[in-house]
Amino acid sequence: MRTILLILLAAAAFALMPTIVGGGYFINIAIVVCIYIILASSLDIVMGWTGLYSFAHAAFLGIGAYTAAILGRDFGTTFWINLPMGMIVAGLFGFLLGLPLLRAQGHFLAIMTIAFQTIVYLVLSQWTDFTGGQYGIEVEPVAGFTALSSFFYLVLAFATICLIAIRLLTQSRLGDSLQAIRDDETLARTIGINSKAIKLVAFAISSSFAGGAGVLLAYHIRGVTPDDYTVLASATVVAMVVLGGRGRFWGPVMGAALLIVLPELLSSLAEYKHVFYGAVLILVTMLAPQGLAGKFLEWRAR
Amino acid sequence: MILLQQFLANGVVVGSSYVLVALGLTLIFGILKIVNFAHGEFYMLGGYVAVVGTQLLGLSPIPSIVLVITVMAVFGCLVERFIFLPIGKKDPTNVIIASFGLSILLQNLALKFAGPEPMAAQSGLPRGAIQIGDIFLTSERLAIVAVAIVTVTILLLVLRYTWVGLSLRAMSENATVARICGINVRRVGVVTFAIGAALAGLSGALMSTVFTVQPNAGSLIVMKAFVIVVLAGMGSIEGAIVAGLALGIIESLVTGYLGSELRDIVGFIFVMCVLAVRPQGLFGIKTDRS
Amino acid sequence: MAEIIKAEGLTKAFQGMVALNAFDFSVNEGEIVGLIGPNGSGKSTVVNLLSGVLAPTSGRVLIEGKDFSGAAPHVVAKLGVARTFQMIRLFSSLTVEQNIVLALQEQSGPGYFSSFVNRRNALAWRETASAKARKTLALFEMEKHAEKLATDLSIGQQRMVELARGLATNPRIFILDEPAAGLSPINVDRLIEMIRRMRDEFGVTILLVEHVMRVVQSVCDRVVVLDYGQKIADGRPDLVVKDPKVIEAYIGLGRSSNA
Repeated sequence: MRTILLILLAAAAFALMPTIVGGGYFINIAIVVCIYIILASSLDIVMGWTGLYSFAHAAFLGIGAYTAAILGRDFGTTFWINLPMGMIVAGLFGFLLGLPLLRAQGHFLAIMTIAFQTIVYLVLSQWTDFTGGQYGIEVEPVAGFTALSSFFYLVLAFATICLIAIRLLTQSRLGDSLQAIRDDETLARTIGINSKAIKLVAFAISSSFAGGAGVLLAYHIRGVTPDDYTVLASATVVAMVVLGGRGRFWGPVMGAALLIVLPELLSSLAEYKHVFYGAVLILVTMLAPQGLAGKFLEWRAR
Repeated sequence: MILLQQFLANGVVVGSSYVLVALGLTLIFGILKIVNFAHGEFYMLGGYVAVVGTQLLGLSPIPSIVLVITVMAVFGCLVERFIFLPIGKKDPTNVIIASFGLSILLQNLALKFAGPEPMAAQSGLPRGAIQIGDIFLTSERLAIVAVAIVTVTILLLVLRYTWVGLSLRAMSENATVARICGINVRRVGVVTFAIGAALAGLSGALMSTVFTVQPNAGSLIVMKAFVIVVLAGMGSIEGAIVAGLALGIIESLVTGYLGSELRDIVGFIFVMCVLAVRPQGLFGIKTDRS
Repeated sequence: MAEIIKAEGLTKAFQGMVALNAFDFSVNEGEIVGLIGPNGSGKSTVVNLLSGVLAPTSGRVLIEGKDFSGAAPHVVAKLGVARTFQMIRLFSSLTVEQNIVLALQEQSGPGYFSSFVNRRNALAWRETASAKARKTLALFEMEKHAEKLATDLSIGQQRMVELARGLATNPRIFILDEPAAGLSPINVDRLIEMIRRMRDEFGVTILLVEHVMRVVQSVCDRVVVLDYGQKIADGRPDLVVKDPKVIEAYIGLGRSSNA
């Protein structure tokens, strides 16, 4: 309960931002932060809670984005249809991918997720007739939300809903089961947890949220191109989760905010953004595998 | 028929480079049980060292190769000592993430320092194609196959007949027992990474004379190397050789008959199908956890 | 008397090595049956087959008369088969109490969707479950450790928690896989006492796999002996230990068990 209130409070505070700071530059960053908060938190369902590796999150981001773009292009549907559709399609792919994927363990799983991510990228960039190839597809802005600050409120609202949903999920029986599976899958199965089904559900839910974030991203940058949905993008999200702290609610949120804002603050770093992400992954796993949230809890326990 | 032969020959060329990369990965995974996603960057860096060696330093082929092998071996040692060793000690499961980070880091450093344009190394070999029967191969492509054959032969001999080789094989079978028998595990770690990096770098260098090198050359190659290693059975050297050549040939045939868009995808789809049916890989053993 | 669990011609082969061969046996309601045999005789294989962790190569596993051969562990668990492990298994990131509540949740907790939408109901259930968990822990004198991380306890204490976890779910049959392993003599006494109490006070049917003969002879109504995957004896404990086939099995390999 307390966390939910905190989420709403934070969202409310964040909502004041356009009036206080104003200026398109900051609002743009704020929108991107919200989108990545959704991404990182949903990836944590798989990485932190279930204890699996997934380097394919950007693939689902892309699937959601392209679903929205293609629906808009071929059927003229609006944002309000495309958003749930993007989530459903991404979730479906997550389910389908999860079926073979989750039978694999550890290393194989990690490799399979990268393979899937690569396949998705290759399909998006090669299947020119359907996806527009390297040129991508244009996306019309959301009717009634063409002003940047109004779109920001839309994104913020969605992000808040997603965070609350994720929080409720991890606090529910699903979260308990995922934690058990992460600790000891054999034991979990012998007390009655259908680990295969639960992992699949978690993976599908995580992918679905990523798809939703993808739709938002597509409407934000007013288009979809394959190069936004590469292994690099997945790596960014993984870095956020690892930096913030796996399995802790505010961890991925912090990680997302930090890794988007920091390069902007240190403007000379912004060019080396991706070098930075790589270095962060290495340093964090070396020095603070529990991430920032983990370190904070350690420090508080002292 | 003639076309088929040409495709096969091209496939063997590309397959040879895959074999070198996959062998390096097999050693690192089979012996050290480390999944190194940055392995592709060894390939990429090898290519750039070759470019520097031949273009900037004006070295002829053999010294360039020596340069690549030396530089990459040293680089492999450094990476092992400063990244994989400390992280592996603390928590082995984080090694995958760290190697992922290293891959991103190296790719983007290369992008910053070398720029996104592809670069080629000068082979210094006579220009023009050589005809063998009905097939045409440039001297660079022939060189790739030749160097690969020589390298793999040396590697197999080393593994079979030298103390270093025996240590590596012992480690891959059972690390604890190897340690008890007095094998210097630290040195094995360093040597394995050095050899692995050198093999990948060599492959990248050779390929940079034919296909050029660019910062993200490693990302696709490492995925294919993993495909090969998984199909071969993680840790199987013979399997890696067979699977590497097979992948090169299959890709060449697909490109020739179906078009180049499908070339890169075919390996991934194949491995995902295999893993869906046999989660332990083609030659792996299913572990019944109880 | 009802047969809780029955193995019919149960066979398990691992890549050419036959670990269990045409094994027939059953456990009736209210019994404490012991399963003994030298190392490598197939005891753990039996346990894994009965609990669904392994699937049989041939033969059947019947639970309360219905065929559940090859069923997955979580299905078997839902039928009321609880088990402990030779190497103690507890959830390392959860407290002692949470370990037990989790097991209870699988038996009687609110559904996945229900716990997501109806938070109040879920929390209420959890209160009840925690109370039951603590009551069960009290039986094992572990109540004071309820808030500790499960893996912070000593081996003896962890074993008691494992037993509490199983007992709390009111199992139809409780399979104990070498529970005395690694316990000090005092803790072995406690183990014997708790096994007796589980049957006498709660009517739990128990299948006990053990090496420590003292435990087997103290609590078992009946003992089944395995050797190289074959059943070689089935009867009263005091008679079985005098059976020449049994003695041969143990002596033949050198003394391998002592109490």
